[in-house]
Amino acid sequence: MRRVRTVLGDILPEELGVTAAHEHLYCDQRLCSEPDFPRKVEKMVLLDTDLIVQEAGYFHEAGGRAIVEVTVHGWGRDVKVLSEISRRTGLHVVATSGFYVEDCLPAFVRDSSVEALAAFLVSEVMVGADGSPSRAGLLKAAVSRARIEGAEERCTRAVARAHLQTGAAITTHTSASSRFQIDGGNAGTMFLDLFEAEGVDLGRVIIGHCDENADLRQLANLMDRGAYVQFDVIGKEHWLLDTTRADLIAGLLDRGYGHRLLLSTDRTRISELRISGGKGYDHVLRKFVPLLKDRGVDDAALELLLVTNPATIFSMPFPIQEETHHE
Amino acid sequence: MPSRTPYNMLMRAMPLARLSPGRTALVLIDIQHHTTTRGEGQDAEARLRGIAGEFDEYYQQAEAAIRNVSKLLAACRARAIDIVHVVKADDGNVSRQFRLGGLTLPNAESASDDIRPEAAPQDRETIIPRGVYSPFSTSDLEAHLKARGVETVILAGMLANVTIALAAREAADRSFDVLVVHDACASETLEWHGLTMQGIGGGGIRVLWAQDILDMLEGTRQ
Repeated sequence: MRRVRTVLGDILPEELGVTAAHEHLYCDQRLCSEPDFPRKVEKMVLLDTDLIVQEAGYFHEAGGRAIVEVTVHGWGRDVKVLSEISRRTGLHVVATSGFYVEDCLPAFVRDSSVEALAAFLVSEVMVGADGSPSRAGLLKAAVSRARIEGAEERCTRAVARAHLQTGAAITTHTSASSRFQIDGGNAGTMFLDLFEAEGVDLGRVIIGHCDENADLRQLANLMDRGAYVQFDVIGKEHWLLDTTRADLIAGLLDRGYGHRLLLSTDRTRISELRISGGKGYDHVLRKFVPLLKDRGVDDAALELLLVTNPATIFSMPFPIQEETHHE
Repeated sequence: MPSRTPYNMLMRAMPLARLSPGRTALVLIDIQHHTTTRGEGQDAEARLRGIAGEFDEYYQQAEAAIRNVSKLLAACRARAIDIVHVVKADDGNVSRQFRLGGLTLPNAESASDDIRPEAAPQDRETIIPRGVYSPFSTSDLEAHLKARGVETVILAGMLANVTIALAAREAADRSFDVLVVHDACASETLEWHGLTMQGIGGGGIRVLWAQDILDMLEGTRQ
């Protein structure tokens, strides 16, 4: 028996419905540290709950039923706000525990052991997060450089150990500015090596941001090892054209990898939302699905990508096996 | 797209170039199958990665650029202007960066075979293989041009936002007047092409259109 842990409680996997696997509804990158060099890049800030309810509403209108919110403690996650958004939109919202890149790590991470960090994560999944009884249903690890090292390695190991104690799936931030410094375009292989060494079933791991710098061969390798490959920056065509993303997905479906693919848009900025003329949370359902259909992707395959795969990966064993402590 | 260039305001105006035979060379970079023909060279690797569609804009630009290269070649040949074909190839001196990049290059000994038919070299035209970014850094291109008394270099080819931009600066550093032909070059994307052509001018480098060069060769403009 399995359950998906949403901010409003546990639900059956088949209740999840059409799911965006990697989004942000409430975040504030200004809480992260960064170098002083002046930059004009718009920070990742979403704090207007009313606006997000409206924008997430477009996703609901397009047929969406669930959003996996992957902001973690350290850059503004608030599960109370996520609960409000869930209630007001009627969308299921899964919150995430774990750690983002080093610049966005909470201060306590610097002096914490892997075991202490894992205990913190387990608490967010089992007890509640952000001073709320709402719990996280997913764990997240992140890398900001071309290697998993330093604090990010400790955090990643902590995520692995929290996974072993809770059964919550692991999602990963794998690339960003390092994507041209890593063969294959993302840190997926490094993450899988580390998780494997920690005893994680790689079938419970999502390699995120695979569509920033894609290589069909790398994606197939990740899925051959059991991991899920996530196309989660769909619409961000400054990295990769959506037509290329659709070509890649159609190619992977042809090769029998449909059961390991997830889709999303990773909205993090007001400028990416419909109110600013951006593509919004509903871009996959309104614009990208037609591109897939143009390439012969049928309804059964779309059901796999948007419904079945999310229900499988985001559901946890129930009741949760608290006795499987990592040694 | 950026437009102000305060540093250029500090510079005195450069003398206008005159395209006289014996003092001018047309330097064509990478007008070859490896870099411009779909299904070959770099496009074959893109197909293996599943990202061939990313290069549609580039190949469209490249085909248009090659049409203008043909016009430039015909006009330069008619005036006995020196012509150099720089070709990406493994000349035994491939840079570490190129090797790590993993793209297999054509063999330098058969480099002329890789040149596109629209730019097929004729007798007395020079072929210079390059296994590095800059055609100046490891070849005798500078010596070749100076031995012929060349003062002005017309640059066209690929990739404008990498090799053409670098070659233009290197040529200017070697005291050549440089004319980059906007519509006889191609960049990774149209956006990059606009940025590159906007950013490359100044300091002895001018960006002109193919028709401008043809008019200059006719003597109807400078």
